[in-house]
Amino acid sequence: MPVHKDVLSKAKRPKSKPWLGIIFIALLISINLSIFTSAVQAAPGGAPAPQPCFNPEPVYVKDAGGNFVLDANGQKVENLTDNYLTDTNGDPLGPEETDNKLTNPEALKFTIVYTGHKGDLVHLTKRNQVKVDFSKLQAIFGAPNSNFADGGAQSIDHAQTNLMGLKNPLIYQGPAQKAVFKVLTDAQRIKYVKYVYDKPELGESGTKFTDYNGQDPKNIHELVGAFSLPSPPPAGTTDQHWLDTWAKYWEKLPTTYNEFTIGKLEFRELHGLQLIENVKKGVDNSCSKFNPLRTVEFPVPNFFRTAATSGALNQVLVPKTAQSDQNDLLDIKGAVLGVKTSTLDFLQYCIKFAQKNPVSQAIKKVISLGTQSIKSSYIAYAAWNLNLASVGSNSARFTFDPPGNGNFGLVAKNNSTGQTWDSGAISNGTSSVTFNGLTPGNYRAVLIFATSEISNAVTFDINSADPSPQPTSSWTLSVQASPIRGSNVRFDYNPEANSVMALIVYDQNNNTVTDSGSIDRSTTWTWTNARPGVYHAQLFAYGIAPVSNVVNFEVQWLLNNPTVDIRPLAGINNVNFTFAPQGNNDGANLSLLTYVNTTPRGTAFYDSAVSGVNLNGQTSHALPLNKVRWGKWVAVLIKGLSAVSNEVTYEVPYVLEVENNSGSVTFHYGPPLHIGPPSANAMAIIVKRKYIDKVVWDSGPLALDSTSVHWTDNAQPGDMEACLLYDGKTELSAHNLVCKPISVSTNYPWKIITLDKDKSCIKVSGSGKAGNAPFCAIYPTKFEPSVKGQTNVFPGECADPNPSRYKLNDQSNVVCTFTFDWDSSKFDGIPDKELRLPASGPGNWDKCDYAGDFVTCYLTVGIWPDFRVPFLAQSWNNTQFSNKDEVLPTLQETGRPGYYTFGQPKAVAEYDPLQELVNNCDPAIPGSQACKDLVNKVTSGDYPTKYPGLSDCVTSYLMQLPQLVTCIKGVASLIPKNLPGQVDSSTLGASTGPSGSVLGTATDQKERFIGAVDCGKHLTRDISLKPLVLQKELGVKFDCDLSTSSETPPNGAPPPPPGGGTPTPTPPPPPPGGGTPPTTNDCSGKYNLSTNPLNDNFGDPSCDFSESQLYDLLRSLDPSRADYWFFTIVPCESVYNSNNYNGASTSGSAWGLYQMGHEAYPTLGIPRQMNSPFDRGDVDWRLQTSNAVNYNNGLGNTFDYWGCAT
Amino acid sequence: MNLPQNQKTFQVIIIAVVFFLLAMIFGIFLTQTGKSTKPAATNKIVPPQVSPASLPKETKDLKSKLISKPLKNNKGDLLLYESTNFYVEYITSPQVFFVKIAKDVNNSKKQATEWFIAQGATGQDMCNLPVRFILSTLEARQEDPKFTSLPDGCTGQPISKPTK
Repeated sequence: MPVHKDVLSKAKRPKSKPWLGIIFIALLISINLSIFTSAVQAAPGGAPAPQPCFNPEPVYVKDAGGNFVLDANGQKVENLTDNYLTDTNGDPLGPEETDNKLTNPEALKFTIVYTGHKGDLVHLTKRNQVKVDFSKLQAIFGAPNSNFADGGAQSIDHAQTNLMGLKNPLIYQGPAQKAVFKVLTDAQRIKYVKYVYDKPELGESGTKFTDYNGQDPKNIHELVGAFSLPSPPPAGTTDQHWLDTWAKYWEKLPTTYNEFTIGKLEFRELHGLQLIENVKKGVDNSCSKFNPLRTVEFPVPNFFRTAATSGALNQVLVPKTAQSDQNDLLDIKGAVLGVKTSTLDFLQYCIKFAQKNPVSQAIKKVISLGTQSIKSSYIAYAAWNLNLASVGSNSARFTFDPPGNGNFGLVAKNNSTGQTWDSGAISNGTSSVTFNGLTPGNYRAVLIFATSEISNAVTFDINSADPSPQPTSSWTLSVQASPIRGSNVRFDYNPEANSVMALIVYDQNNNTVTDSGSIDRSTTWTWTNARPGVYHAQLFAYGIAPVSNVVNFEVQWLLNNPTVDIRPLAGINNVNFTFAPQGNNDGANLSLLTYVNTTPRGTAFYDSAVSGVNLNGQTSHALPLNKVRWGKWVAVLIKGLSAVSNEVTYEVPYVLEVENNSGSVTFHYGPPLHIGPPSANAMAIIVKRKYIDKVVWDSGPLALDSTSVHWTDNAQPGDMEACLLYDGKTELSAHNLVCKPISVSTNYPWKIITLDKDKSCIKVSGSGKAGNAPFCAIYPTKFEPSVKGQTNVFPGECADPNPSRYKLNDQSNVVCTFTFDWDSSKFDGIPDKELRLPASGPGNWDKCDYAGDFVTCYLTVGIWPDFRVPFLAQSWNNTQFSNKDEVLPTLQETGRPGYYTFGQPKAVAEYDPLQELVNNCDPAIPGSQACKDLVNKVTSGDYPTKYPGLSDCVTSYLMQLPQLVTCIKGVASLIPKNLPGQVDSSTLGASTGPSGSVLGTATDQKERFIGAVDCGKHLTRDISLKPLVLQKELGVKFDCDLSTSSETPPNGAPPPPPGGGTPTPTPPPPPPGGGTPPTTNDCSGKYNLSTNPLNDNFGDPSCDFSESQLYDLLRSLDPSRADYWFFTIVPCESVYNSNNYNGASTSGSAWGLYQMGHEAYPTLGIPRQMNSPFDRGDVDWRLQTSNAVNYNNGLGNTFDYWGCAT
Repeated sequence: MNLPQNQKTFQVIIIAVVFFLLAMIFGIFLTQTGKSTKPAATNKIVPPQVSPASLPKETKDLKSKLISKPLKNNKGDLLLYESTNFYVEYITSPQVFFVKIAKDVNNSKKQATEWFIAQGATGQDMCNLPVRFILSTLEARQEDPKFTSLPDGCTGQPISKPTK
C-alpha cells in the first residue's frame, strides 16, 4: 500500500497552507450544494430521480416557427384555457331570480348601493372564500383521456406486458399508436426517449419497460446507456442491430411524455354592468379588462399528453376541411413534438364560451364559496351643516343636516369654565339636539365623529341668570315650584340667616310638620323626608316671630322614567318603575296607572290596584308581562281619583333578534305578540335580500302569544334585512317598526354532486372513479419564472384530510380554502382608480341618483373563479370541436368530434335504416309495412349472426307474427346505431346534449374521443411498417374491428375494448345478452350484493335506477299495462329492487325486478335457467323490463308467468 | 374379541348405514323446516284514485310544499323523509308518495302518518295525494301478511289483471 503510506505521510506534515483550507471549505460547500441541487433538479442524462409535480413547466403560446408569441407589453402569452365558473347565463355566481325566488346564493356577484355627498371618496371591501379540492379537480383534468388516446402506455402493466403472451396484441395499443403513421410514431418515440433521458426528474423516468417477451426490464436511462439514442431504420429497410436492441422495446414506448405543467386558479374581477355584459358577449376586447384579485398555481398532469396524442390523431384522421384551421400541430421535420395553440380562439369567446364548457360545470361541483358582508367606511367627513336654532337663558337648540346616523354626536364647550356638554351618538334620522342647564359663558359647538369634527362650528353666549324677586319682609323665603316631586324640598332665603332663626313647615291643619332648628349663616335648607301633601312654611326668629313671607307648596310622589328592557332571545320583557318616597295608604292606596300616550287620555290600560298589587311601602313596581306592550305610553301614580305624581312617558319598542346558526335562522321578537295596538293579528316578519331589496320570505301573521318564529334551516347565504312589520304589507313605510341586518351563513357549501353521477360533466372518470385520478397537491410557493418563490398558499389555507394513494407528491395542500379580498381602492382599468361619488353623471358607477347635495350610486361587481388549464383548448379542439362544417357528404358537423369523419364507423353507415325502421314499427300493428321491413332487414345479411338474439326471436316465434315483431323490435332497439358522440345515455360512450355539446355518461367517457379505428391505418401500421419478425411474433392478421366504442351488442359479442380493438375471444361473465355488464358497485350502499351468487350489481350496474324512470320505461314499452307492472308486479315480486335475488324460487332462482330466469355461470356451477331468451332477470334493469314485457307478450300478455298476477 | 375379518367389515357397514339413515332423516327435517315459509304481504299497491290534475287546490298546495325541499333527488325519486325504520319518497312519475317500511310495521306506519299530518295533510289528503305504504323487506312482509298499501281510512283495490 505505498500510495496510502504516501498520503498519510503527507497529511501528517505540519505544513501551513491556508489556501488548501479555503479549497477544502469550498469543496464542502460545493458538495453540499450539489447534493441539494440534485434533490431538486436532476442533471440531463442522469439517473432517474422522479419528482412528479415538482417544478411544473409554464406553458406559453408559440407561433408556427416555434417562437414565443408576445403580447402588447412584450410578455409571453400563456397557453392556458380559461374555464370560468359562471351561472347559466354566464354571469358571476350571484343572485338570480326565477319565479320570484332566488336560486343562487349571493356570493361572487353583488351590487353596491351607496349614499353620500358629492365628491366623497368611498372605500369598500369584501372578503370572499373559495374552497377547492384538488384531488377531485385532477380527476376532471384528463387522466382518463390521455391514457385512452395513448393506450395506457405509461402504466406499469403496459410497460411490462409480455407482448408475445397476449392473445390479441391489437388491443395493446391505443388509437394514437394504431392510427398514426409509423414514421410519425417513430418520431414521437425518439422525442420521448430524448426528452425523458434529458429530464430524469420526470415522473416516468423510473418506469421500466420490458422487451416484447416481458424480459430484461430497463428504464429510459438504462436503455440509452445500453443502446445509445434510438435511430429506427427507414421504412422498407431492415437493420439487424436495431432488431437486436431498441426494436425489442420500441412498441412498448409511449408516444408522449407526461409533462407536469402549470395551471392557475385566478379570481378575476370586473365592475360595472356594461363591462360585465361586454365580457359575456366577448366584445370590445373586454377579456383584457379583468382584474385578478389572486392567482394560485397548481401542477397539472396529463394534459400535455392528451393534447399531443389527440393532436396527432386529429391531424392524421380528420380531413383538412373538418380540422381546425390551426390544427397542423406536428412539426415532424424537426422531430419536435409541439402543439400549436388555438387558445386565442378560445379567449375570444371568453365568458361566452364558458356557457358551453362542461369542465367549468364540473369544477363548480367540487368547490365551495363563501362571502362576507361588504364593509365600508368614509374617507371624507366634513359634510354636515350645523345651525344654532335658538338660545335660552340656560339652553341652546341646534339643528343639523344631514340627520344623524348613529355614528356622531354634538359637543358644546363652555369656553369660560371648560365645562363640556355632549349629546352622545345622535340616532338615525334625528336632526336637532337641545342642551339644557347651560351655565353662563361663551360656548363653541360642533358635530364630532370619533375625534374628528365633521361640521362647521357655531358659537353662542349664555348670560347670567335673572335676579331673584325682591323680598316682601326682612327675609325673603322661596321654595321650589309646586308641586314638588319626591322627598326633598329645598328652601332658599335671603339675606343670610342668623343663629336665632328657624324654618317651620305646617300642614293644611297648621300642625307643625317639621322644624329646621337653627339655620345660622345659611341661605338654604332642605327638608329631606317630606311626605306627599299640601304645606306652607315660614322663617321664624326665636321660634315665634315670623321674619319672612309664607310660601305655600305641595309635595307629590316622584315617578322616575321606567327602565325598559326587551331582550327576546333571553326571554326578557321588563318595564320597571321606581318612585319616591315610599307608597302609603294615607286616605287611599297608592297605585300606578298606564295609558296609551294620546291626547286626551283614554281609559287606563293598567291599574296596579285593579291587578291587586299594593304599592304601599314600595318604591318600585314592574309591569306584569301581559301589560308590557309595544308603543308609546304614559304612567302616573294616583290615590283615589287624583294624580299624586308626575307623569312619565315611555316607549316600549319591538325588538327583533336573530338566531343564525349555519343557515338555520330563527327570529325572536318581543314583547310577546298578544299585545300592542292596533291589531295583534297583523304582525309579520319579512326578509329582504339586501342590495336588490327583494322579499325572500314573509312569515305571514305571527301567532298570538308567540315570541319566535323559525324561518328556515336552509337559508340562502348573503346579506339580508329582516323587518318586523304590522298591518300587513299595505303600510310598510308607515309602520316599518324595526329592521335588522342579517348576514346568513358566511360559508355556504355548494351542493356537492358526486362526479360520476354528473352527466353534464365530460372530463370525469367513470363510475366510482371520481377523484381517483393521479393528482398533485399544490406547493406553498410558485414556480412560474416571473413570480418564482412568491407565496402560493398562505399558512392554514390547505389541508389533506383524506390522504390518497393517488397523490403524486409529498405535499399536503390538497383541500384549500382560498381567501381573497375585493377592495374598491384597488380598481384598475378605469381612469379614476378611486371610487368617488361623482358631482354629476354616473362617474365610475353604473348609475347615480341625485337628491340635493346627496347622491346615491350603484355599482355591480362580479368575480369569476377561473381555472386556467394548460392544453385544454388543444385537446378539445382536437377531439370535440371542428371549427367548420364538413363539406364532404358525411355526418360531420360543427361541434362534433372530428375523429370520425375519415374512418367512418359501420354504425354510422347503418344509422339511418335500422334506427328508422325500429322507430317506424309499431308492434301493435305487426302487419304494417314498417314492421315487415324491420323483420326483413334484421333477418337478412349478417344481422342474425352478429346478433344471436335476433335468431332466437325467429326461432321462437316464427309462426307468431305479433310476438316475432315485438321480439325483434325489443332486440333491435338495443342495438346501438347512434353516431359516435351521440349515443343514448343508457349505453356506454357519450351522449350528445343540446347544441351539440357532448355529454359524458357514467362510464367510458374517454371513448368519445374515437368511435372506430381506420383499418387502412391498421394495415399501414401493422403490415406495411411493422418488421416482419414482429408481425409474426405478434400474430398480425388482416383483421380489423369495425364496431364503435359506444356499441353494446345485445345478444352478440361483448363490448369491444376501448378504441375498437378486436374483442377478447373469451367473454367474461355475464354471458351474451346481459346488456350493461355487472359491476361491483353497490351504489353507495343501496344494494346488498352479497345476496346473489355473483356478488355483483347486475340490475343497476350504472347506479342509475329510479322508480320514476322505471315507470316511464314501462309506459314506453307497454303503455296499457304499465300501471299493472308498476303497482302490482314489481312491488310484489321485488319491491323495486333491480338486484333482487331469490335463491329459493319455485323454479330454481329468480332474479331482478320481475324475478325471472338467468344465464349459465359455469365457473360458479350455475346452469342456465331460461324458458326463452327473454326469461332473463340477471341483467340491467332496463333489459329486465324489456325482457319481462317481451316475455309476457310472448305469453299473449296473460301474466301467467308471475305468481303475483294471481 | 378376535372377530373374523369379514365379520368386522360387516359391522362397519351396518354402522355406516345407520349413520347414513340418521343423517338423511335429519337433513329432511332441516329442509322441511327451512321451506316452511310464513305468509307474507303481497305488497300490491292500490294505484292513485284521483288524477293529479283533479286534486283540490289545497291538496295541490300541500303536495307542492311536501316536495319543495327533498333531501335527495335520485333521478326523479325524491327522498322526503328518512328514519331508521322507514322513509318517504315521492315518485315523480307516476306522482305517488311511497312510504317504504323496513320493520316495526304498524308503528312505522303510524309514525309516517303523523309525519304527513305534521306537514299539514289530512286523512283525505293522504288518500288523494296519494300516499302508499310498501313493505320493503321480507321480514316486514311477514310481520303483517294482511298489510294494505292504503293509509288508514282510505279505500281502493289493487289493479286487476289486464285482459289480453
